[in-house]
Amino acid sequence: MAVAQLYYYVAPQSEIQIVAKSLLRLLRHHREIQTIILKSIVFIADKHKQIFEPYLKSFYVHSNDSSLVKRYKLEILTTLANASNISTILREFQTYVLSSDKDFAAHTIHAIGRCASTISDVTEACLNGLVALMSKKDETIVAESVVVIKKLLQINPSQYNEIIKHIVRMVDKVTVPIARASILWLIGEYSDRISKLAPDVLRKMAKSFVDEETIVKHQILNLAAKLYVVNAKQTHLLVQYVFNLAKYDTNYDTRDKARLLRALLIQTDKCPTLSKHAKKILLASKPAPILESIIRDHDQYTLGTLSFVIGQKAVGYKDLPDFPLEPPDPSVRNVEIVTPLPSQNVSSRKSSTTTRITSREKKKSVNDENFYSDEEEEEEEEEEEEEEEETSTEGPDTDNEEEEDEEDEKEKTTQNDNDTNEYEQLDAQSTNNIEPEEEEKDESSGSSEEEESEQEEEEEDDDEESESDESADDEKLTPNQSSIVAKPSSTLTVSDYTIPATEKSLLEMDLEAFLGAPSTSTNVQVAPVKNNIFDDLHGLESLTSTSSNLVYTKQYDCLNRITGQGLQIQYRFPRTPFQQSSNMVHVELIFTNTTTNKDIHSIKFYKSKSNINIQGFNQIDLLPSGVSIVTSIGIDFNDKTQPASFDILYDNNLIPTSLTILCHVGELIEQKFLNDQQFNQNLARLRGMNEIMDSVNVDEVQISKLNFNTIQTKILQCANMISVPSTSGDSTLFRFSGQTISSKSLVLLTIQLNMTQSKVHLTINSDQIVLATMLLKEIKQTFQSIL
Amino acid sequence: MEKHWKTVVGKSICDYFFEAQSKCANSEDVPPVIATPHHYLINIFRNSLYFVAVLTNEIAPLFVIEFLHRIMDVFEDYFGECTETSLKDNYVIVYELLDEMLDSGLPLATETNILKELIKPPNIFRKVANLVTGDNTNISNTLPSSQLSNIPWRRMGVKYTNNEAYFDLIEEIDAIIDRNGTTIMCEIQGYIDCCVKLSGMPDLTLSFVNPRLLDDVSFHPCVRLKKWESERVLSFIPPDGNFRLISYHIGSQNTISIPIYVKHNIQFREGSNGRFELTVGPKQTMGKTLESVVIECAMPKSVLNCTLTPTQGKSTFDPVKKNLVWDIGKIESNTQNTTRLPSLRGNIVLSTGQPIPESNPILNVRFTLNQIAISGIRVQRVDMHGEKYKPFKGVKYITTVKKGRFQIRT
Repeated sequence: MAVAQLYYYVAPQSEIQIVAKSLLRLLRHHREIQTIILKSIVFIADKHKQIFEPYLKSFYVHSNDSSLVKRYKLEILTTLANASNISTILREFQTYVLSSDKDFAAHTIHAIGRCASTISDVTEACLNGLVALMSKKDETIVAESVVVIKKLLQINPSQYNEIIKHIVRMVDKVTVPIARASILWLIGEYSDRISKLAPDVLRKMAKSFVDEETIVKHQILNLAAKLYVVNAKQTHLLVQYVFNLAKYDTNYDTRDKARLLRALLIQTDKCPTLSKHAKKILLASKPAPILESIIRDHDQYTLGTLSFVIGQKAVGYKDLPDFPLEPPDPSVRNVEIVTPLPSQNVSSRKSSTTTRITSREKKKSVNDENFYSDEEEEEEEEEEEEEEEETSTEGPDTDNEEEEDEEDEKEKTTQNDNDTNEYEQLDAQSTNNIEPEEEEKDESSGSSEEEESEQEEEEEDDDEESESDESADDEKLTPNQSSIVAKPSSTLTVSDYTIPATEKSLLEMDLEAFLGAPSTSTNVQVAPVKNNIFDDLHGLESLTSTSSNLVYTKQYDCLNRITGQGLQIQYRFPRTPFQQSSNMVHVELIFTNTTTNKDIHSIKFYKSKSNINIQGFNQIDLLPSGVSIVTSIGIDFNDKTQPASFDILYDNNLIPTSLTILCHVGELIEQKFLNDQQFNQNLARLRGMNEIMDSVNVDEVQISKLNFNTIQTKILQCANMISVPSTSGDSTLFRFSGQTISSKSLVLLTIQLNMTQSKVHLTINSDQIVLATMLLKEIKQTFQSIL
Repeated sequence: MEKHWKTVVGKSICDYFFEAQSKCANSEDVPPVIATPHHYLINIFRNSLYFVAVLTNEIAPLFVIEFLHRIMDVFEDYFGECTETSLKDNYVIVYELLDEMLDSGLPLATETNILKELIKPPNIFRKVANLVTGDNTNISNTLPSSQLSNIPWRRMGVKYTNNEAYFDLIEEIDAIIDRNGTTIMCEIQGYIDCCVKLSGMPDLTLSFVNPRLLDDVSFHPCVRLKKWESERVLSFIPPDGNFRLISYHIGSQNTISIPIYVKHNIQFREGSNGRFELTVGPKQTMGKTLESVVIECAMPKSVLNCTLTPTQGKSTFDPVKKNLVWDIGKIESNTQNTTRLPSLRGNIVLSTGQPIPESNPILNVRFTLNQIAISGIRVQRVDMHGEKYKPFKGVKYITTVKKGRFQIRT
């Protein structure tokens, strides 16, 4: 209803249609709801007739509707009536008139009258129908029809002399006061046409004057006065008699009226000016009354409110504000995008590659480009100060720390080298890029430079140096490269993963400073670095086990070192099957003690918080400062991407710390090798509802670069799937298969390149259609972003 | 009984309501919203009980009405029926429920699943336990876990030994047929009522054979709307127990074949009697049997009595309410022979002195037709994801008529 309300007030003409259907559906609910909805429909239909016209039949009245509902329905039908549907509506009305509910029948007659007055084509038919109704036995129906006829006649009196005469003859039979009054009024008004009958009627009325109702008395007086004006000779005495009767009436209104008319007509000497115009006054042509809806319009109240329903102002009612004449400030529509990470990335890179400036300056420039400039800078400076303090005061300890940090850095950088290695090799394969080794050397030289610089300087300066070296290298390199596009484009889009090593380390430092201060545990830092040999081993393992020559691992933060009081936990998906249970996704947790001198004791898995089944890790008794330990847990994500959350306890804390692990859709899938035939079989089985398709537009240059290896990389970035060996030899068709870890339902991916239209068509067939949809989206994004 | 939130309102407020009620001859004619000098009364009438809400401020009346009906639904759920006696028997629980459902005048927990976790529904064992321990509250100590979850309609950790899911596809015909047998108006209101007893967090998918028929639907909040819009498939995590999954409306634009016809010949004649003849037969039922066919007829006031003999079933006439009921029962679809069709014949005795009725009475027909949905909607398949077990799935089709919604004018 609220929606209907909104639509009513705001929607343009074309869209208001939608409201009708749902409102009509509401009509099937309880009686009370019906009443209010109908009332609202009355109101809406008044303004927008067209929207309810197709549903006319829904407003037909059932005999057991409550009286209010009946009336509203009638009202709606009347409102909706137009030349095209009037015949059906009138037929419907005719059955209503016969209904045993007399009150309702009377309302129907009124409604017929309204239809007749609004649609001129059917006026005649309506009148005839009404006249026929007058011969019915039931009092109320007859009376109502007389009243309605009177009103109709007033609209167009000249044509209906016969009807008038007919009505006049009925005056004796009709007993309902309002109907009698109407007849009398008619006689008085059109007395010139029925000049013979009129005095006779007056005579009869005069006889029964004393017993009549007030309203009838008034009309008798009116009639008398009019007749006196028209035909004074015949009626003089009668009029006098009636006036005399009225003079002693108990009702003062009647007495007043009699006195006024007497003064006007008979005692002309008292007010000569008026009496001269008596005829004009009494027989002035009256404007035809407009037959109004029986239900008053509540225009002044907002649709659907309490005030609207009861027709009076309720406490606390507020009118809708008018439409503002001036457009509101457009700035409120601008949503502030808070994405400090990418902007940081981009800006720092920009500055690193384009300009050669000293570290401090550069840092400033970075900060200037940043969103929150001042605070962050301050914080950072504070951080630095702290570090400086540390270095100055605590000698040996910090040495250690620095060393360790250095080591970390080294690891990271070498790691990064590895990472870039992989990518560049890929690029090389795809684009015949000859340079990477050279670059590699450069980078490694950069990092070795870093390694050598084991001085007690501030690391940042160090980094900056290597950074600038690196950027210099970059610049040197670019002209040499045979295909320039490949390398920058890959760095741009996969920037999160293949940022040149040293720059990366700088970034990380910065980020640590940034992220550390505002304790955002939810902020997942995308630090896709493979750290240690352990990991490499895993990589090897997965290499061998899945016979894939690519391993793709991202690492996510789940416990920030600030919130964890020195304990940092990261997680990653090694994409190997979990030993204990095949239904679980293997997740590796990396616990790192980042404190300087504090050991962390007894880290243990406490319990799973969500209803997701989690296989916890063995208790870690001791985590010395600066040491990382990798453990494995299994999570049964149930083929859903809902995050798994669980609690851990450490350091004898009684309050558990909760961790949340988000799973990407691609990690829910494990590789499942299928041969060509199997693939086709399963594909045939998973048609129809289990199939979703999409296509990505790429430009021509890019599509030519797509070959098996590039595509496989891209797929592996998103999901853990294995390619299906093709026997057809079609170089534009690539197929991958996998299965969901929890339910082992197949996920089949088909990639079809369309060289002529430069499109990539993606098709996924799977039982798990929800999952497949998400996967498709992700793959699509990958294709779009890389190309 | 009364319950106050925020401020206490004097009992005299009810007088306004009783006054309005006494004005109306029919108990259904009471206006749902009554304005009094300082308060506003909103009432609903169900099961011959009035529920009256008192408002002091402007608020959307539909909201209040819906809430009152929801209270009634909850009571029905708790006590099996909502009558005067059942409410009196369970006074304590009624107050506890009201306390939970409305907090400081604002509706709070209205899902029966959650309420049942908060307040245990009554049963014999509990009554005995309460008597023995003298503990009179039914409020459980734990907070319902799912109230704050992202699927508030489902309880956590549901376990069943038999995993079952039943879907009842119910369609109600709403029709008016005029005296010549032509259909003036015919609409279908359909529901899918589910009884889902599945363990864990099942994710169900329900697809239809011909979903294009459903163009005007309203869903339970658990249905994923996007999925419906894109694939015309109902995908949802069901609440536990009974709930209404969707309700839909098939309007009068669609042609609907009505599975029953009634031949009638009712005449009132001068001389205080009349003739009454009815014959009922099946039409286009697609081989299914019409069951529990009942025809009701509200006779005009002037009818004194009816002497009618049915060939099948039983007919009764209530001389006070002037209500004629003919309970036919089953009508086999294969009886094409008109002589074997159930019919009702007899005389009507009119009271002398009164004018003969102008119009013939309206016949209200009720019937049910099992195993078929008259609109032709069929469930294609129901799939379950997210849980490992194999549930039992059952779909039932019923076409029925709500009381008084199928009328034949004579």
